[in-house]
Amino acid sequence: MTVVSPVFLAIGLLAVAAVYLLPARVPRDLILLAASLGFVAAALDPASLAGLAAFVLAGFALLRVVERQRRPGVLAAAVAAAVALFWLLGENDVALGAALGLPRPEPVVLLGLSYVMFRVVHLLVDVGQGELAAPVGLRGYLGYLLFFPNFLAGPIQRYEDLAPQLATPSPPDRDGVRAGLARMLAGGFSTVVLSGLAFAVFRRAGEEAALGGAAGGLALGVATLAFSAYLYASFTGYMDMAIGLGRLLGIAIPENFDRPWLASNFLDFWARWHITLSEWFKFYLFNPSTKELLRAVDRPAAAPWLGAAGYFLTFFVMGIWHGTSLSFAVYGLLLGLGVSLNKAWQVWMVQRLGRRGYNALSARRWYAVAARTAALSWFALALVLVWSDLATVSASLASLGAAGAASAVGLVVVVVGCGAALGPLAARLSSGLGRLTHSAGTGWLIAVAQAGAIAYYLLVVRGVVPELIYQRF
Amino acid sequence: MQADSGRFETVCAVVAEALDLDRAEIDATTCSATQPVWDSLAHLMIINAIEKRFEVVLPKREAYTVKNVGELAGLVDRQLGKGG
Repeated sequence: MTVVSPVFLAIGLLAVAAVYLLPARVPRDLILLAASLGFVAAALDPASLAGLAAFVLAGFALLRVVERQRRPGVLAAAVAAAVALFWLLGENDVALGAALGLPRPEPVVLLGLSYVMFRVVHLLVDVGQGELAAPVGLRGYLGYLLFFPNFLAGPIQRYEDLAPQLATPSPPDRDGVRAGLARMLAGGFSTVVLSGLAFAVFRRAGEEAALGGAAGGLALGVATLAFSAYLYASFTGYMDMAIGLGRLLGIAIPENFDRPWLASNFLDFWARWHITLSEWFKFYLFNPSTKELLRAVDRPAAAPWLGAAGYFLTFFVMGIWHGTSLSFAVYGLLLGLGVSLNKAWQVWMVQRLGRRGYNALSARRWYAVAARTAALSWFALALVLVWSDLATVSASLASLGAAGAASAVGLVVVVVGCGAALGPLAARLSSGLGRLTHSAGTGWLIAVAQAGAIAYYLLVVRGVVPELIYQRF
Repeated sequence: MQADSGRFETVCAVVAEALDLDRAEIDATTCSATQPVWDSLAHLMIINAIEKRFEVVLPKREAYTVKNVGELAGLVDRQLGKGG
């Protein structure tokens, strides 16, 4: 299931038509809930559907418990229960499934469960801490959890932001409709053509990498770069589709990306990539854990190092959220190491150069390009553990040898470095293209070109439309 | 909401100390965009320092999402108005 599948598009268009055409007495949140239930029923197989229903109902029962029982420990136990159930239904891999004697050697719920879990934990914590003013009823709960444009892979929109919009969407004017359609078309182009082409390069380079030696090393480097490009095109295309459809429905959906290729360092990267996931982890893990650490130690000199520890914990957990295997644990370690080294470097440089000296250094062009290159290369190389696994990577590195591995890493760093140097120029081009897309004179030309490219790719090239891997985490 | 001027001064002083900046560099619009040193960690250090200085517990969601010194001072005013 992808956001360019006929089922998603048909349910989206039916929902838009129903929101516009049905009499005002038909509650809009019910129309959208019916569309969401229809989408979930079409997207999931029966076992996944049963698992999702069990998780959603258990989440609602836990919500009722934390609403009524404000005793210490109840909220923590409810969150632990929700996460444990999520782990059981969505994260168990072959080894874990066999150890528990589960009938399926794979996760029970195959699509979207992570994002439902993030929303359930958000509700449990905010209701349990009295941060949500109004009680959450079953209708609002289901409408929020299963809202179909956000279902497969986010964004993780906050309840207080989405729920009022579901009840009373604000249908867009003519310009809004045009902008929503243009955003969906751009998303379709990115999801189908750009991600499809990058995925094809990734697969071919991955096969060549298996040949070993220096040529294999270069192929591994190409595969690493192509996977990053595929992931970015696929995920931003998905977001464009979701945000564009939301606009047609009269619902504002938050942005999830802010030109991550312009990140000034690894910490800044996470404020630009999968933003709502980063915000969720910041809100529910980094902030409470680090705030308590700072309060407990209460020594200003230790604060930056405690912060580095908080960053490490947060990003390590973010890594193992992807899966229970050793590969994802190492992926989490790499992410945690990246952010904590980044923070430690900042602290050390400020101690050495002073705050003003460090700011002056950061403003220098060569330093900015080097920092961006380090951040983006680190992420692209860490992603190898998302598309492969630790055993395969170890075997590949053994077959490639030191020279092959060095050429793989070298190619990634050089290409990313060139991109980092051109980043500001690309940003200007991207914003110019954005203005052209929104201009009445040229917008339709771009739309025709995108539609033509999608049709050519699907009908003539008969290219593959890869699925967004995040929807299966 | 306009923050009490004495409290606003204290909030600015606490923020300046937490960020290791001069008091003159802080005003109501100071935020992470104007002071790069104001990152996620610095935000928590500011919130802890404010809670300690005013002997108040700030509501988590608002404390985590205030965008600048003016909003932070307004939040402190509201919370002290409620009796902490």
